[in-house]
Amino acid sequence: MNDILVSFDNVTIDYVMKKQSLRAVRDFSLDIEKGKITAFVGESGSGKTTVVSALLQAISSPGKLTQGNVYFFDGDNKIDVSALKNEQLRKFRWSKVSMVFQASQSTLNPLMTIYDQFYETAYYHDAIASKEKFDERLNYLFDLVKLDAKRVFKAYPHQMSGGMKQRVMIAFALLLNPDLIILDEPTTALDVITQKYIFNQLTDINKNLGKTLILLTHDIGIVAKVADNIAVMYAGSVMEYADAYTLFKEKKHPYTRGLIEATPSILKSPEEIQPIEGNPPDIRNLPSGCPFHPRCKYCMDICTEQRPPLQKIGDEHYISCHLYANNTQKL
Amino acid sequence: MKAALKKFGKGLATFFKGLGKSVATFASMIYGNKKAFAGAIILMLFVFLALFGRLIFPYDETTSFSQMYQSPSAEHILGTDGMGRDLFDMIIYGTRDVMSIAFMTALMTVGLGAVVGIVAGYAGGWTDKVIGVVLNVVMSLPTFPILLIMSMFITIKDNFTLAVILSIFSWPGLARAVRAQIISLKERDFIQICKVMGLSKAHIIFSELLPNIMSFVAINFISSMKNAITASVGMMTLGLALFEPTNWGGIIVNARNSGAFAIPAARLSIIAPIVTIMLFQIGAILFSNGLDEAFNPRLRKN
Repeated sequence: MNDILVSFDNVTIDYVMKKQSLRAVRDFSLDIEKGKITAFVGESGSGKTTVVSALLQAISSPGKLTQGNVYFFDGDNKIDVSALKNEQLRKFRWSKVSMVFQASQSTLNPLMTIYDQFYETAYYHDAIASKEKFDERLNYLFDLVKLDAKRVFKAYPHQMSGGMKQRVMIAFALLLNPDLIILDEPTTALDVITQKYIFNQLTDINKNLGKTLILLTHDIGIVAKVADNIAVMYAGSVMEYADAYTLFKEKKHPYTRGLIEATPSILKSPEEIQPIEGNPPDIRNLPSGCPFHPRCKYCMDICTEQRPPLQKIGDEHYISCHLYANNTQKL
Repeated sequence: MKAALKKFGKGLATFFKGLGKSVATFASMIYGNKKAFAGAIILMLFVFLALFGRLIFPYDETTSFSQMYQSPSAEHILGTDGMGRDLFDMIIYGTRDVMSIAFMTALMTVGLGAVVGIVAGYAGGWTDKVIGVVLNVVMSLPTFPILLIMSMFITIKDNFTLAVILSIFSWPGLARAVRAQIISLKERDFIQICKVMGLSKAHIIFSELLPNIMSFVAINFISSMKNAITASVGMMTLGLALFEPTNWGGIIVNARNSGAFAIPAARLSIIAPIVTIMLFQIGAILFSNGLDEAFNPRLRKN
């Protein structure tokens, strides 16, 4: 067992509204290994973004962490993120955990130059020792994401392309040297060449700087190439968690298998692509028992009645499926 | 508390630093933009006249009916009015009052409107609701009848009170517009990420939100100056404000009352103040376009 950086402990997040509340994340427990790339894979609305925003106390309103805790391990210090307040929270955010948002192109202030935006963030975190040191750091960061620092410093966001802005945001996430970077669909709206480029940089950052990354995506193909560990999410819970190799080799959970088989491949003929029948469930009205059972080919009676617990079936391999109860039955 | 104050100070400092920077870019931009430059020249001329006009062109208050409605000559550049006073000198003399009323009104309207709008928009919730009710009440006051009734009881003698009365009725509209802009801005990703980055509220308000509505506020400042000039004439006509014969509007009203419309030689005492008001407005509009460019990098030419 490697070092753990973040531990989600029974996290449940509800969107509380007047008439009813939505349970976007349900009993989510997972440990994120230090120095690894962990990917959360799932369809839209599976709760990926919601669960990681608990890590920054940034769950969008009216969402609330109603149960469980999120712990962040800072050396020997165990920080309960959900209990942080005001000044502590302000110091924790961005300097311990930073995030590259979905559609991060719009997360830059249109009226400020890139340099000023970096400067102000560092300034407010009291991270500027001297202007020379700060400039040096920026040059280093922009070098890392392969941007021409001289040009980008003076640029306004509208003067840059989408790929450039994305890389600016990755540099931004690294600014205060955090231990963990969350990347929420970092390559949406980018072409495949830029995608590949950005993922190469991300793996570099992971390998060379030893940063822990959490990658949220719906593209299982990207994950296969980049991630060390994969958590497959469905309707707000973890369906399967394993290292990338095991997950793709064994593809034990019917949903994981469905996702992998639905991926177009250059080697497969289009007829061989097997879509998962049906639609993701309405989280206001989840099916009884296992949330995946209406779409599952291997659905048994027990699946409609009981929610399967997340159980360990191998070395660091967890699964939530009745097929593997008692660890006997095999697909 | 001390830490919060310090943070607030920090936010204010960066705002003024940013403002200083935009003043510098603004100056260089005005130079490059012909229209804005023309606007700036016109406005500076008016400011100059307001400050020093009375010294350069002394105004002779004595009336002499033998000199009424004279044509322009070397002695009287724009001729004389119905009481034989030099028209050009009157307009120059009136500049200071007109400008100070306009400036104070705009300052109060925009100041109050922007602050209330930002507070309502950013705080949301109950604060927003309470402010909304207040705004609705003030906006639904029937301005004209109230002024009419007020004019029966009081006469305003100083420019400041006049500016206060003028701005009381005009700030809620601006507050609403600012509130709407803030509400849409604060949901934008680059404001949301500021919270996640752990930046303070003061920073978000002064360095992120305020610059983004600055061009809107600046343009409103100019247009409320414009409105104040015309409205102050109305107030004088109503009798609410002390009638000032050198006020540009006052000149027109005086000319009308003394039957200048029928006298061909008197047309200048109507046309001259109107042209002056128009000149000021043209300058203001050109200048406000320049402001828009100064605050918005997307409109700048590189």
